Formats: sequence, C-alpha cells, structure tokens
Amino acid sequence: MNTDTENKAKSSLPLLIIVVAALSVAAGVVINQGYLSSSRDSQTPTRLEATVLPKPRPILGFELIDHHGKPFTAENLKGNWSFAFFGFTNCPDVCPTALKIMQGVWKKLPKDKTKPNMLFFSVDPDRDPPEVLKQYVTYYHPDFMGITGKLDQIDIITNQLGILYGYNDKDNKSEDYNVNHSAQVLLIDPQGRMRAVFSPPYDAGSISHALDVIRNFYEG
Amino acid sequence: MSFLSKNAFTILVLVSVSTSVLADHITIKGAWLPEAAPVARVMAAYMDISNHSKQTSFITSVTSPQFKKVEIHSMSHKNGMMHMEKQEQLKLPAGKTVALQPGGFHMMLFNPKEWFKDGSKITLNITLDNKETFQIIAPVIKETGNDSGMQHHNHH
Repeated sequence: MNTDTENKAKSSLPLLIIVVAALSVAAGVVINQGYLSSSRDSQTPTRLEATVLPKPRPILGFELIDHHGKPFTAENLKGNWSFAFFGFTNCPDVCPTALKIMQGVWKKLPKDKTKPNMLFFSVDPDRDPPEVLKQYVTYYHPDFMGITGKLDQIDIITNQLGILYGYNDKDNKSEDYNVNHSAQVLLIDPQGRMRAVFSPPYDAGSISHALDVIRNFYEG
Repeated sequence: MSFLSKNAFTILVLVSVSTSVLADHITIKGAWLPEAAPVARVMAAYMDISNHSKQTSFITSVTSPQFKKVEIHSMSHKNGMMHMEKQEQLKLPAGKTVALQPGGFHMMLFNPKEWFKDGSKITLNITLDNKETFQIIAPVIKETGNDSGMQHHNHH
C-alpha cells in the first residue's frame, strides 16, 4: 500500500503544506488506479464450496521438474489456471480418490474455455521419479501432469501453500513406508498465485462449478 | 450418492454376488476395490463388515494370493494432514457394522502380481481372533470419476 514517509522538514509551514498536498494528490492517483485494477482482485465470489483467498498468495522460487523431466518453476504456473494436489503414488486411498474427482471435473469442463492444468506434486520423490509419475497421473487423464524434484525445493512450494507432509517409518529398510499429507486441492490463478482451496470430501460438480464462478469473477 | 446412482445396476449385481455369510456371525457386504493405475504398487479394498453376534470379534490378519501382503489402515485428519495408521487388528463390535470406505478404514493391498483391471476378482483370506478363517472375493471396479469421493455412507 502507500506508506508515505513524512520527512519533518525544518523549512517553513507553507513549503510543508505544498509538499503534503503534492504527495496527497500523488497518493490519490496511485490509490485510485490501484483500486480500479485490483478491486476485483481482493474481493471474493461468495457461496462456493471452496475457500477463496481474498489475498491471493504468490508462489515463488522453486525448481522442480515435470514428468517429462523438464524444469518446472513458478513461471510455469503463469498464463493459466491450475489445480494442484500434493500426494504420492504409493497412496492407496486419498490420492486415487482425489485424482478420480479431478477426472470427473475434467468431464465437466466447459468446451469453450481454456482447460486448466492439473498438477500432481509428489511429496515422495524417492519412490516417484518422473517416469513413474507420468504413468500414474496420465492413467487418470492424459492432461494431468506430475511434478517432482528435490525435497528442499518441494518444501519451498509446500511451505508457501500451507501444505504439510511427513513420513512414517521411512528409516526402516522397507519400501512400504507411508507418507502423511494434506489432502486439499488448490486452485492457482494465471498470475501463479494460490487463489482457492477445496477440502475433502470433494465433489467433481462443486469443484467444476467453483472454477467456473471463480474464473468469471476474476476474468469478467 | 450420485456415484451409487450412476453405477447402481453394477453395484446391485456385485453386492448381491458379494454378500457373504461367513464364520457364523460375520457378514461382509459390498466389498470392492477401485481400479488403480497400472504402475501403482498399492490398492485399497472397501467393504461393510457386520458382526451379528453378541461378542466382539477382531480381524487379526488378511492375505491375498494376488498381493504380497494386506494391511488394515485407519485414516484420520490430524494437524492438517491425512494420517494412515496400520491397525494390528480390526475391531468388530458386537452387533455393529464397521465400514471400510474412502477416507476411512480400508484394507491396503501391496504389490499386486499384475495389473487388476475393472472386472478382476480379488481373493481375500480373512482370519479372526478366534482363529476362524474365511474367504471373500471382491471385484475391481473402474469408477466413472463423475462423483464424490469419501462419501459418508449412511448406516443403520
């Protein structure tokens, strides 16, 4: 916002008045322009089965790879709406359920609008290299994209999105450790910012309806 | 419940086929496994297990010739995360039905011997605390994906 630092001038009152007046006019112009372009941005559509963030959260500074092995960074989140889910392929229940719901969302997407992205981020890179992720997500839909990479990079994005995860028994030699993780589906806007959160139990109809409403609200 | 209405006929057939009266006092209804990705190393099995006796029973182990091992897991939402916890045994309270369903208790089957597609039949060998064992056959079903996951089944 506009924080004007007021310099206490030693000079006389008339000069101070002029300076303050000039700054006020400038501030007014800035606020006005800012308000007109961002007024919609900081409002939220109402009555959705989603939590829409009044202040979208930027997602920055991570370096991961997609399931083709190509770099995936914050830049890749720009230019289109994206759904994001964090899970792992050795997940028997939560992840398949969420991906099947997203499959259902894809069936309901309006034909006349650009399809969003569906990003499945693995929080288990040791067992989910790109090739495994690719086979896993494309089973649900060929449009879906798996994202993986080093844990410290994954942490950069999960921290910004409020996603938590943890391993159970990973120190055992067994390959069968479990990963606990947040199960929200997130909606990221074309500016690469987190915009909305869907919590389980999900419903394909609600999610696709919410996407429609949200897109119309912010894109006009 | 739109998943059920969409697949009502299929489910009716499968449920009628897969209701098993077992071990005198246990019935298992509606056992099924969602089809998983061919690359998946794990599958889940869901079902309703009813204990018709006046005594609590426990399922102490489950095996399947088609998987390396089967475990029973609970699911809970704690500290912002979904937690799965292996259960050493599954308590079947007297006179009650325990529902294994998405988002809740489920059987977790590890390392399928092949990819089990829609229509495959999975054999589950269940052992109780009184040493009785019985077998059920559960179908693999490919959901249409139109509908809700983690629905709350209404129980009697």
